[in-house]
Amino acid sequence: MIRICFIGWLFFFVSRCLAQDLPPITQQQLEDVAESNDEEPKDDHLLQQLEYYRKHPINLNTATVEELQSLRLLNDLQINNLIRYRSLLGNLISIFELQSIPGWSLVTINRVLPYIAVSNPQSSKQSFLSRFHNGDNSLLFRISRVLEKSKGYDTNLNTHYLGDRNHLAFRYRYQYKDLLYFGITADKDAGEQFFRGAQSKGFDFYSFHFFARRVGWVKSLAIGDYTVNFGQGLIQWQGLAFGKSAEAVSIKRQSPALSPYRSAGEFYFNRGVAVTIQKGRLQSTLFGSYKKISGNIISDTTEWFSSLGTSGYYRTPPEIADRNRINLTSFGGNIAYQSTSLKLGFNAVAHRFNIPLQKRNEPYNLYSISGRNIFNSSLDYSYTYKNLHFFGETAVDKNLHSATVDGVLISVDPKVDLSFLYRNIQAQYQTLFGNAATENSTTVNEKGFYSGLLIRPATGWQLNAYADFYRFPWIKYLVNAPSNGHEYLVQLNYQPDKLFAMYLRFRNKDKPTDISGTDAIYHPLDQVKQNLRVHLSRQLANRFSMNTRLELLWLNPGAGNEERGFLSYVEANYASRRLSAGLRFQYFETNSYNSRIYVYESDVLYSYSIPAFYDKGTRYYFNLHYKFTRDFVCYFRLDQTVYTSKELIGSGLDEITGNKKTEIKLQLSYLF
Amino acid sequence: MRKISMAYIFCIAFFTTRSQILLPDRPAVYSDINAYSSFNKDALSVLSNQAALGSFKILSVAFYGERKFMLKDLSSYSMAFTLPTSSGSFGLVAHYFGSAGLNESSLGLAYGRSLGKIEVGAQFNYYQLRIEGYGNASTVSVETGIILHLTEQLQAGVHIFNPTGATMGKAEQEKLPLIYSFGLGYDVSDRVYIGTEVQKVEDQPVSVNAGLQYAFERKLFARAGVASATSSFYLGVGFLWSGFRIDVNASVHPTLGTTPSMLIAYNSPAKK
Repeated sequence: MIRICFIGWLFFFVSRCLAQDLPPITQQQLEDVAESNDEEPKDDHLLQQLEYYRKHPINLNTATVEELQSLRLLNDLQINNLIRYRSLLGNLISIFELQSIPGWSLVTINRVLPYIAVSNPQSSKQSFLSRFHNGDNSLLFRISRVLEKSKGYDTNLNTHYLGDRNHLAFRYRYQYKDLLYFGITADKDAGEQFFRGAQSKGFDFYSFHFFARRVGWVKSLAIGDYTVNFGQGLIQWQGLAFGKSAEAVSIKRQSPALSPYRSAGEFYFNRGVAVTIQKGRLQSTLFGSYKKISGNIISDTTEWFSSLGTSGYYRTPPEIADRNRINLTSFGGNIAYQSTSLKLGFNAVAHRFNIPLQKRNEPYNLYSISGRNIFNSSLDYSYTYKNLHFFGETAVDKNLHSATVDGVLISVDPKVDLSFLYRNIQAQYQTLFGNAATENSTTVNEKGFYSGLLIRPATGWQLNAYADFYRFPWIKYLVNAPSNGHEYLVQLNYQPDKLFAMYLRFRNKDKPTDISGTDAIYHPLDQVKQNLRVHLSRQLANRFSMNTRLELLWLNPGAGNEERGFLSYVEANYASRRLSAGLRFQYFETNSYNSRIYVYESDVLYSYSIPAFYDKGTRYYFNLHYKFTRDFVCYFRLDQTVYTSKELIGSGLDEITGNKKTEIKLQLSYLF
Repeated sequence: MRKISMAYIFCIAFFTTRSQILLPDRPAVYSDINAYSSFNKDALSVLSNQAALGSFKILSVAFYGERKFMLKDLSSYSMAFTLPTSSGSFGLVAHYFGSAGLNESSLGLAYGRSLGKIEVGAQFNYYQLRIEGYGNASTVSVETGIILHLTEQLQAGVHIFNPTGATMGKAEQEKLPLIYSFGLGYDVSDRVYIGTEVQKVEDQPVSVNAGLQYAFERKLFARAGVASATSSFYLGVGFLWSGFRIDVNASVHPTLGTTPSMLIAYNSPAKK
């Protein structure tokens, strides 16, 4: 009875407030992605999708497996159980019924509540053309600027940024449920020119997408920019991917094969046409893409390029010289069989550069992609048997080197979920857009075994833990010998009600890296990093909420190169119908860049801010979000980092003289 | 959940090192954490934390063998026996580790009893180290443990091995290490058990060991776990058959390889 009251109250409360924040677990997963890639993700399709579901919640009575997967908050066991519950017992009558679905705890329900609803399915036999009328149109314009002038804007230097200091972004979007998307994205980074020079057409990056789902036989159709995700990511995965995270049993990759590309990142997408056709239990995807990519071309007796330009920065003459010089043609497809418990797929992708790729002649590049052609094929499967969900993928490249990822999710008890994942990717395996659940940032040279555990011992409590053991059979960049390491994480969450949540997290990671010493050849030594974090959030009064975090970091404790890190912040938020504001104050102190700590920050809508903090300083930011009318919203953000004992911040052309770095952002969005 | 005579044994040490020189002589990893489970105890796991004898009122015999890293000279064998009496239970355990050239053996006598929500136990061991060409050295050591029943499903306990710092050898140079363990066991249901322990062996880094056992069929179970000090993990399966319990297990160390092991235990039917 008390539980029912809780849920009713939660639902009421959540639907009234304007809080824009992502669920804490998603914030943590994004932090983990930023930390493992050493940069913020650029694909904000997830943010856009969650924002859309907030306004148009998913109807659990009609939701497809893919819609539920796109939330990134439910694992396959939970989704399967919902589908089975629906087919056995009919449609859900109310949200309260969710508690009776196996695997759906109160924590799970709290997480998805802002994005779901339970209502009678509408018989929607609408025509394809009507989808063009009933959706949401939106226009978005964003400008941001770092107030301090960095070295790159000094025109006296030989190499300097040619453009102005503003980062500009523009988007037009149309979306009707998950059935029709189209729009334009335009983006210009700070330092790039605008309607001048290399960017004579205005913005540096333009993107158009048109994407339709479920038109008769056609399950998905993409024209323009789109992403392709196959299997578990061994041969092709261009979208955002969460790897090891505090949600230990979410280690499986899930996504439909095609998705529209609606972000401003300049590399991880395809440009062309793609289609997925479905007839009964068989489905097939075909895609073709032709786009220009950047890379530094070297001309000798022949011509080749030695690295792929993925940053999207074209500010200085050398960067501009590399811009969009190489043509990349990609095509591929898959055939899949899908029944309620079994999915089998055969996938293949092929890429061709017009100029061959030949990476620098270093030992760690011995097996890197070289040449003009890349080809991969794989078999992927997933199979549900009672409370076990097996999944995996095995792939080969054009030289017949292999990679495999195989795992299982087990719901051993209503209170306990387990996951295991085995991966074995040869050192010689080559893939261009592969992105699997590996410790390495690229899908190559790794053998590992991961096991995850989730326990829900009592209402409001959740314990997550994982242990990952990995080995790199060949040398890597900055690791001059085969090496192995491990990672453990334990996180205890306590959320008795929507008012209060806290978690305690400890992580221990050992990843060997070359340590410079007196030897002529550097060799890898253990690099142990331990993090301890406490995070509390509390809803106060009706409209205020606060949260606070304390994080400690120990790098190589007890060794000669020991470092420590400390970070703590306190944040207050206010949310009402029209206005929401947030203020955070943070202090951090770490020995160096090696002991940096990543933190998720709230930013303007659709923008990621997950910076890494190192050295000593304070940071604060202020967010404001004001709804002038129901359709016209304005966002403003001001953030500043003050380094207490530095005179220079950053390096190279991003170097700022002084000890402060301030950024302001203004974003306007209009819905119609 | 039916009330069963609860013998929660706090099993310690995945890799307890009994001496400064050699590898552990105790079956480590999985059998130890089973001590916390109300359903999964056997004679050998009970003797990792003797306090569990307090509620293990069953006549039981167990044999264990392992071949560390697949090397014959690093084989280890154990035999354990428990005898219930009206006031607590007694246990007897014998370990042998090594080969003719170098071996360790020990014989222990244990007693444990229950005091309501708390159980206590202790064990005296006669330990002998034999090295070919050097003769042998022996000593007597003691270990003691205590277990608390926090809830019907959750137990916690502490075990200390060799608190007195027993030494051996003519000049008293060799010292058996002191091993301190703190453990927690959670019986999620009669099919799933999760146990963890934090163990500190003298002069070694702290190890956090955790394991899970899942009875996927009524008589078949599987288990998996990790030990942080050695970065190793284990996987095993077992089955029950009319009072007998047979476990096959493999523990994998990232550098040194696999250790296969087997446990055969017999629990006589519980007296009601």
